[in-house]
Amino acid sequence: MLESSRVVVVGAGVAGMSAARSLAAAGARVTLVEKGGRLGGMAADYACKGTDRCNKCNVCLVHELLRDVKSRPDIGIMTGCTVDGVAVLSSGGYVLKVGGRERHEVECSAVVLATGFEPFHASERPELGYGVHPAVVTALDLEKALRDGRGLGEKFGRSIGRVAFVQCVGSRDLQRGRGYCSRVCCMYSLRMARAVRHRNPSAEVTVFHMDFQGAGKDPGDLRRRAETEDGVRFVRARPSEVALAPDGRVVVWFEDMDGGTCRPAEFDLVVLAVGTGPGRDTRTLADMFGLGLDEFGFFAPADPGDEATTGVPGVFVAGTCRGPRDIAESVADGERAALAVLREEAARRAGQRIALSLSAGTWPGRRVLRGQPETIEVSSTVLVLGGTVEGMEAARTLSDLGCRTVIVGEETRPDGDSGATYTLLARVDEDSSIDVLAGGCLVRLDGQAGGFRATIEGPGGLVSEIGAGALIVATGYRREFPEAARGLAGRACVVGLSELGESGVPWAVGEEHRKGGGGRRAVIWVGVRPDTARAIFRQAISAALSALAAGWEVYVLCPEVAVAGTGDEVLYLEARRQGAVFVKYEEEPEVQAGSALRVLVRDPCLGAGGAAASATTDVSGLLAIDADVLVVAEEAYPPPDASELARVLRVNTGPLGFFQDDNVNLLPVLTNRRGIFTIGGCRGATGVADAMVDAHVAAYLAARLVGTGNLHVDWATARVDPDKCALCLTCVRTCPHRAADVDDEVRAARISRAACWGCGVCASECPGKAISLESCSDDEILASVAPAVTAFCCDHSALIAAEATMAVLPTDEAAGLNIVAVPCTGKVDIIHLLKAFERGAEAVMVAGCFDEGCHFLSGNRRARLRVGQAASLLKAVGIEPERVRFYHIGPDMSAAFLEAVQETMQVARELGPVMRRRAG
Amino acid sequence: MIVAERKSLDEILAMLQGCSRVLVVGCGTCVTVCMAGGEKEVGVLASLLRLAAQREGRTVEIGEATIERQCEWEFVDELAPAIRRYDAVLSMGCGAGVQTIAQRFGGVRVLPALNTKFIGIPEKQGMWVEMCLGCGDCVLDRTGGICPIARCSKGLLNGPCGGSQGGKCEVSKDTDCAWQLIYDRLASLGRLDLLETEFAPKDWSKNRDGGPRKVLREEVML
Repeated sequence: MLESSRVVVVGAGVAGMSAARSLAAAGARVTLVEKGGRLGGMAADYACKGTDRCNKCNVCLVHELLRDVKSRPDIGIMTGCTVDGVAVLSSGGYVLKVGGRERHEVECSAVVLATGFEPFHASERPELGYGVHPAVVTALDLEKALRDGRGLGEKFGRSIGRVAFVQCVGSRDLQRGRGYCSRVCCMYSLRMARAVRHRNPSAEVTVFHMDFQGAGKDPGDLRRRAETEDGVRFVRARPSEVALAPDGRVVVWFEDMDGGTCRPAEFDLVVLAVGTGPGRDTRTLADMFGLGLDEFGFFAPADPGDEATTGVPGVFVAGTCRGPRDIAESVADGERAALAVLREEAARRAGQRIALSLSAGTWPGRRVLRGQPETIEVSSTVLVLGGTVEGMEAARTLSDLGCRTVIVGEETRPDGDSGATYTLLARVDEDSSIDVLAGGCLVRLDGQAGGFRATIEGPGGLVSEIGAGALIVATGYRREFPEAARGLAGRACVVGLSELGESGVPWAVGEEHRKGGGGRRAVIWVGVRPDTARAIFRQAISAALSALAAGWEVYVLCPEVAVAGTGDEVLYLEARRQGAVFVKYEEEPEVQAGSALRVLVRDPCLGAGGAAASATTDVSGLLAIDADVLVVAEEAYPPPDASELARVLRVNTGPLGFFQDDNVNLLPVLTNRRGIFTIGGCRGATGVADAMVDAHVAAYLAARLVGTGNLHVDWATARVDPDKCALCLTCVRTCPHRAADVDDEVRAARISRAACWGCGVCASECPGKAISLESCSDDEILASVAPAVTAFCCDHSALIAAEATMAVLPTDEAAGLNIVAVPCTGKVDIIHLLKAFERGAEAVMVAGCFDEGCHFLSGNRRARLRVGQAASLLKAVGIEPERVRFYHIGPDMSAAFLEAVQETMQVARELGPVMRRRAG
Repeated sequence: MIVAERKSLDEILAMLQGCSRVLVVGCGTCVTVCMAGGEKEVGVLASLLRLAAQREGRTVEIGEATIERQCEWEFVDELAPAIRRYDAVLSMGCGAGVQTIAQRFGGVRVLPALNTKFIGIPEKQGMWVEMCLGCGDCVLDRTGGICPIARCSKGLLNGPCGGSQGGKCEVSKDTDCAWQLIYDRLASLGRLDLLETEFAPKDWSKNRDGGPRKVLREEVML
């Protein structure tokens, strides 16, 4: 589709690049207009924060995007250009006046605005000393310093002993009209804290924060690691001043919660976690295109359910210009904007089937190698497992994109507005391209992407087989009271938050449980994990507001006030204004049994003398709240059959047993298997808004994969030589993407070209040498091994760093370094390591992604095992094991790569030649 | 399958003392599957032998070949054209493979690179366990499909012994007590009655009594 149409994407940051890549992959001609002199936006300056493991900062995704966008001939790039004016064509398209060194007029059918954000200027809070004391820096300064790779002390001109992070600088700040959470700072500060500690192990890090705002799959894990492995100390305080100490250090003044007094603490470095605000051009562009802004100046969605649309035909928005979001969310946002463009186009050409094409450039592990082009006939049916709201939304979106879908599974009651759900149900019911197999259960899955065969057991044991090109897993999540409140389930006067619904809370419920006399008092207890909290907290506040409106007295008990969702801070402040009391507890509340409901909770804010007005008892901050109703926010757990379903699907589960590995390359909806997507609650995205993003992105990707009925494979895949195959099943077991199975006719392993990501792990594991990766055979790899220090570099991380390093490497060092590009370190065979020495290498290094950050999921782990094996084998023949080394190198870590190279060269020099006397 | 494991390099290098032309021969069947002697392992070992020699400044010629099965005359024959160029053949097959090559090529030194361990299965990727001792008189019908001869450390026929603790064998806490497994399995099959019949002392004449064993099938003979 879109053969004749051009889409202009304004802003080449993460969301803009993602939208451009996605539109180009769908066949659109794209022009990317960027105000700055280079692509990448703010994120291009961020540093990979990998320590030994991936800390999920997502910065590598930016480098992937940069390479993808630059390498696509169908994306026109205009840097140093701004959109200065717009004219509407009678056809419905636009003519944009683009200014720069020259003026251009660009005609297009759609515009995606992805103009990004403006960081808060720390100097607007002069009391924090930014720009005055050199030891006070912003998080952006620290990003650049981390990226530089030099010692931080050297960078900041002092030793880094004690480091403070000050959160919420320019966020949640009513005085400056920034009454919202910037959503990303807590996580980036923790990652930076880990990165700082990794480089300066003696550093002591303190984080001054209001509340911990978690994001990602398991934010609690990052916090735990920061606390236990790095000793990061969290202080709940909002520092009032940063002053210069006589010794050149700085003093942070903060209110000590224990004593209730203002207290100083000295630091060597203070990092201000600056928040994000609307970009400078937002208002100009809003005026130009007639778009609405929210109260903070971000682009406001016209339809909260489809946030990429603006209400103006042909104009879409994506990324941080709509409000704070992280890199992965911005990537997803770009995909979603691309989808919105396509949907509108489809609506315009009503009746015409949308044709989408998949190009290799749209999948993880794509770019490196080209293989034999081949068009595979695929089924364009998509199977949706689970009748959740996200499952239905995905089906409906697929229907728009011309795909037939089959929904298998029970309908589950979704969170959120049930009215919208019924509308959705009705639309699914009406849609002739959506079939529903109620009560069905997937019991077996054969085949691969493009040609899955699903065995469904229906009610009454009826078994049917459905052919599908792709699968979307949308089985939702299970709600249960959190551990600490589990004993309360089913007790009188105790209700689950989800039972209340989001709006129109039946606070009459209190009437029946009311104990007579006194005011009606509700306690809402939100004791859920940080990843759940982000979605649940809004519901809790809505419930509080409904209760307040019905004249109730409300206490909200929570370890953190989680307000990272759009507009949540506004709601939270409103609840407080109306008198809701929020108690941020550190110890779990205790609920006393008996005829009346009494909740005991210690508020660390209250010293011995303090007490909230309506609380009846107070002993050193311990509140005893006699409640008429206790509302408990349910925790999200994977559905009970998740592990069995994962086994049938051969997909991995991640933290807490939800679907999907905790690997940034899979966000938001990919699994380890091509053609199987996981969305919403079953992957841990428990909020309706997040689930809708998932549904749209997955539907779009599924349609792009199989929507045309043909899948064009042109990427390099692994091939099996059936004569050599001993059917040992090693490939079947080790393929991270489950692309290998057994060909029963040939009696040999078979690797599906549609499903293979091209990492080469199988080729390097095969004990019979029966598998080779196209364009990357052993001979091809060994041909590039030279008698020098040899560095096998992962194309997705270390090679990008290496390219930058080589540009600045002194000639003599460059001459002694031989870089061998591999799609994944998992392709580096033990044979390659040994042969490199045979061919005269004095030392060999393998450089790849951080643990849990492998673009192919587990290739780097296999590579590390092989490096260990090579070291012990070399030792056995008298060669020093130190000569073979593994390094984790992020794509932006050219400095770290240089250090690794120099270290390896140093080792080689110190150990002397491998061979006592060269043979021959 | 037959499970084997490569000998230490020290041992292999000692065996090859004085040999400067060595043919490393892999086998494409059991030892490929158990990752001890397939084409990949041949490449690794050959490379290590070259490196060891280079390290000492010796010149060597290390050939590599992998045949379908080292225990078949026809496949072993494939080595004929090149084999006499070498001072020694280092077989990465099981003991049967080493001997087949040696028997086929008189006058050629054939050395084992592997220790043949047992008949077993990959319990999981990278871990192989013994399952069968080849005793020649299978009792699995009476023991729920779990072999007491191979999997009980004592090979008891009327176990368990007093060393069975919490389902584990006293020999190692990593080893399941075979008789516990047998009991559990028979219980799940509802066949605990099988345990009421004692095993008579095993007839080892079907094993090693009378020397090396032979299986003769006249109807398939040529």
